[in-house]
Amino acid sequence: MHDNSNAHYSWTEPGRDPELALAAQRGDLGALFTLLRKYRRELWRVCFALTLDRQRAERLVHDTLLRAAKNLRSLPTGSSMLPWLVRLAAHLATAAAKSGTQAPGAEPFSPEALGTGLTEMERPVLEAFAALPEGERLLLALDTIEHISYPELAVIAKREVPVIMNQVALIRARIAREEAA
Amino acid sequence: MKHLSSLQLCAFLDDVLVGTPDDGTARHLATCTICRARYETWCHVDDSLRELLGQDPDEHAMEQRMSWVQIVVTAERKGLPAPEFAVLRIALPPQLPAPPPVQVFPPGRAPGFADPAPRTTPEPLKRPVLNPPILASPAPAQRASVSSAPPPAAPRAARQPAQPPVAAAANPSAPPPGYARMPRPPRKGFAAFVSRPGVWIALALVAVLAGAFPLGVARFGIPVIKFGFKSGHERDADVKPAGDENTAGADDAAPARKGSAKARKGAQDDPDASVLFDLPALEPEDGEPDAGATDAAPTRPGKPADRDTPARSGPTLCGEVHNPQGQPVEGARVYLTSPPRMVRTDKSGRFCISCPQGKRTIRIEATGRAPVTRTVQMGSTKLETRFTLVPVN
Repeated sequence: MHDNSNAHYSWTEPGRDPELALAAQRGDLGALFTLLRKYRRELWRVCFALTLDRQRAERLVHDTLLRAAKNLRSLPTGSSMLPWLVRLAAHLATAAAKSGTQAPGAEPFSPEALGTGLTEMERPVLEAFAALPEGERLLLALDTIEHISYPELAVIAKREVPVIMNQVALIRARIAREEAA
Repeated sequence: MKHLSSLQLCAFLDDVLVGTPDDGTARHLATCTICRARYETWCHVDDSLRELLGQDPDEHAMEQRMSWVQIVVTAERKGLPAPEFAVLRIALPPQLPAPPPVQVFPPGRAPGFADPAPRTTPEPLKRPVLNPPILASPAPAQRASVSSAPPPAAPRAARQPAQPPVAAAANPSAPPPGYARMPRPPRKGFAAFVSRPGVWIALALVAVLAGAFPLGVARFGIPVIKFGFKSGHERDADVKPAGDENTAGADDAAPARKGSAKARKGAQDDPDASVLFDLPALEPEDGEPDAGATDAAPTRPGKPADRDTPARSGPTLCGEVHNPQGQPVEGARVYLTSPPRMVRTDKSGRFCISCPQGKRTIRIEATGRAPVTRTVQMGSTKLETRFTLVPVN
């Protein structure tokens, strides 16, 4: 089989982000919108995992991009924008959950809100996933759905790699236990 | 026989084991039914989450959201008031009925108004009938006020509500209609002070000046009392070893640890992820089997390795991923839908993934590029494919 060991970290690779961010801070609106458009799909999937609702995910993407445009100066110099956007979205989702506005827990979670047909095998998994806190939900979604590597997860979550591995293992074990129950 | 721990199982599932630990874990899973059942449960959880949550956004809705963000940001950059989102129309989904056509009604004739009666010619306004003797000869006690009153006293009297002449004649002590009211007594004291507009203007000026030049106890050298409360992530930052400050979290989380006000602002701008990922420490789980072979500890995390387990042997699907200019795309995610597998392309844009025979769907995704989905017919040998990913923008 082909060797894939040299796969690079796409989520944390800066690319043209610092250049665009600098231009956007100097007032270049084109650079700003290019930067905001670049990661909208990844950001939407993160927001969808955080909210478990397509409409709320779109709203969270909207709020995250607005907040990012206003606070672009706090983007770490020379780094990729995507981890920063993910932290911003998670922060907004957590704040909304605590305040009770547009929160995932504001209304009873309905698996049908995902808009896809659920099988009897998938329903307990989804319910166990929805019962997780936002941070754990985000971590598991990044690992399982986006296949983000552990070093990248460590950069996004600002934790050490072994800590991230332990947390992912704990979350998976918890979901499997609840799903089995 | 010792069983695999959750950490080992998780590392094996995420393809971060290489060499002997990987082979040892695979051999253990082939022989231990308990661990294999756990592994299959975890695979089922992963597959279900990938199936349910791995959806793509609605491009139309996303474009609309991006347009809104552009409108708001452009307005704010130009100093214009940001439009309200409620004013911006949301495109109706196709399954909803179209809105009724807009009809223009004359003012006051919209169907919502309850005015079904046809308009008729209004009756002429009935003027009150004044008392001729009063106008002709006012009472002596009121002559002074009448003489000092301005000349248009009579029209003003005409605007007063009509008094029945009979009542005026029956009660001569009542004030006759048609005369001006007595002026109010002038306000005194605090009420008079407050009623002056100049007072409010002065108060507004003071408020503006106080906002422009901050006055506070700190300005006069009195030390500000700081309470000992610290939020969770600040306490966490304090107990970190000194070496951690130079590594993770030293970039954009640093302003959040400097002061209370700035920390709060920093938390708004860029949240400290330690709060978001504040998970409990690793502890043994209920019902989890004992940790087994220690040689299966994960090494070189984040670097998926080749695996040649019997379950994944057989025909392989290989290919190259390029951009429209023919340059290889590194790190693109190659998904196989059934059975669910994922690999990444290398520096030369190549990938290989073991794929059973039959009709298989493969999906290529890369950051900043439009995903490509293709269905291939896998035979019993190796199949070579080529993909071109187009940039999104």
